[in-house]
Amino acid sequence: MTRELERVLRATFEDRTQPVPPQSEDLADSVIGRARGVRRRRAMTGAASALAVVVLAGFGLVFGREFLQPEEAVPSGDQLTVPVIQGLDVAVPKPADGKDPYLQTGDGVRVALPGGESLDKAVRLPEGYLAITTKDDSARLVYYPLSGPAVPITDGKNLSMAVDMTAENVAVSRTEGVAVRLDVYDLNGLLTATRQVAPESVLEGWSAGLVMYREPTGLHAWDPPADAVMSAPEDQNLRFMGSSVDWKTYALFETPTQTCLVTVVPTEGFDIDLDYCYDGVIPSEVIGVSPNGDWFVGRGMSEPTGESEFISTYLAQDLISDNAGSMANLGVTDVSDWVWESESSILYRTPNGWYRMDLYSRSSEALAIPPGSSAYPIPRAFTG
Amino acid sequence: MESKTKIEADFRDFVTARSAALHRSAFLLTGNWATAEDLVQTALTKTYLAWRRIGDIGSVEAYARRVLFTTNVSWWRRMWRNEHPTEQLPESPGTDHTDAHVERDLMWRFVLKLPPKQRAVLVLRYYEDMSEAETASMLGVAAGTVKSQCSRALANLRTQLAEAGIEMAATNRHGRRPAT
Repeated sequence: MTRELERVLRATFEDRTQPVPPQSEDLADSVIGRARGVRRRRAMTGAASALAVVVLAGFGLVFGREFLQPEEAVPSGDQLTVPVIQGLDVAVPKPADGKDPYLQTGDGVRVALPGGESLDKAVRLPEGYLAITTKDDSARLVYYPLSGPAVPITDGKNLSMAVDMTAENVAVSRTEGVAVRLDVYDLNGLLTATRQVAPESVLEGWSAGLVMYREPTGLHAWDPPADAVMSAPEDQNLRFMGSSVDWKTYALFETPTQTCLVTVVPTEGFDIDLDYCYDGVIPSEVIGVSPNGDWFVGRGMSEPTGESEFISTYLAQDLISDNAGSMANLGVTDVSDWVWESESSILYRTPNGWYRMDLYSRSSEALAIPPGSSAYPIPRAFTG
Repeated sequence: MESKTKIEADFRDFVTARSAALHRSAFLLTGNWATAEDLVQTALTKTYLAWRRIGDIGSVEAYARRVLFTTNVSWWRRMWRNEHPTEQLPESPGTDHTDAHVERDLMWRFVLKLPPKQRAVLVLRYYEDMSEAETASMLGVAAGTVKSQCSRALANLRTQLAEAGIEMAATNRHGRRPAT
């Protein structure tokens, strides 16, 4: 019975694909032209994609806590100069020549940072960089245009930042005593909104014009112009994953038997719009969504082996057809940091250095950042 | 490193040799030649952009096919989420349509109604003649997922054909129901 069905299916496919319409003779030219256009756009924005959204939440955790500790056993600076890497922005906290730290564009433009301060976090905007540097206990956030004078945004203790999808506003969290305050600034340093939130709150990012933050009681979304806050039901225990260029909000929650990657609508009580559930608990110490919402990548300890895994899923294939996901191990171990480079490629670091991985082919190539260097790729503010 | 001219020449050779095959697969995935053309162009563009990273020429077609299949599912996902297509299939014919042509015509209509993930699995398994393992590798999913998707798709087709009056269990190897 099945064999007969398969036979008819094969015959149907053969029938339907005969004949193939005449192929355009200039197909290759047309494709090459299109590819050049893509490259031009990438070069213009300094980004690997014309699309995107800042996905600071996921990898803010990574960069904020692990990567940028002043730490690395490089006593007085990098041993080798970091070359210009086409299309890639790089932060160099400890240059080989012992001079001040700097940020370097993919076409070789350098932006010097203040000497004597350590770089905590940087993000590339279309026309410059936002960077948080610290000295002693105090941090400051400054906008560094690629040309023109730097614009001080704010300063304070324990600064954290997230850029919105227009790349024109930056949300900042800071601690004031035991309290935490969220502020929104434009790139001229003008304060446009402010809100006091619970102690231990963490700024997670932006989604659809909302500032996402996590209090001990759960996930919240703040609408700065209206100064309204929407809260996720506490029993859902949602974790914010990021947002996509089509302004969708992605989150994760776990039950004892399943892990579900979901889109939620904060303005409607965090209603779950779509979900992709996986049997068991997936490694998700850090998990993030690609700028276009098609891929998720996560890292964490797997059960029951206790080994650190680096995983991905191509959500376009985990459709509602069976509501079953296909999380795959990317075959890389000891990944300490990672960041989206484009809608389908990531940059990740292992003890051997930085690599770029194409998620379609799962092939990796080493970046020309010298192993052991303090340098790292700067995340991009993707705009939607 | 390969020169730009060499890459372009290799890419042109690849397009000349393989674009017809890619178009056929794209048609089976999308259901119309115009969308198939767009899909092939998109897959080829991504392939060209990744050419240096792909490495050897032998891997290029596999890469292009993987992009073709995954991009199609991605497109469908966006369309589903944003546009809610309302295409209606024609009414089922009566039960007296028994020749192979009608059978295949019906089969095609039902294939087009399948979710893209299931359709992709069927195309890879029964048009590209890939094994479950090869299909899983192509789609970046587990072999078990391929098996379950395939099984679900076939069951779906069998049900719809039965509802249209064509019982696969009763058809002989020429695709016709035996005389009663």
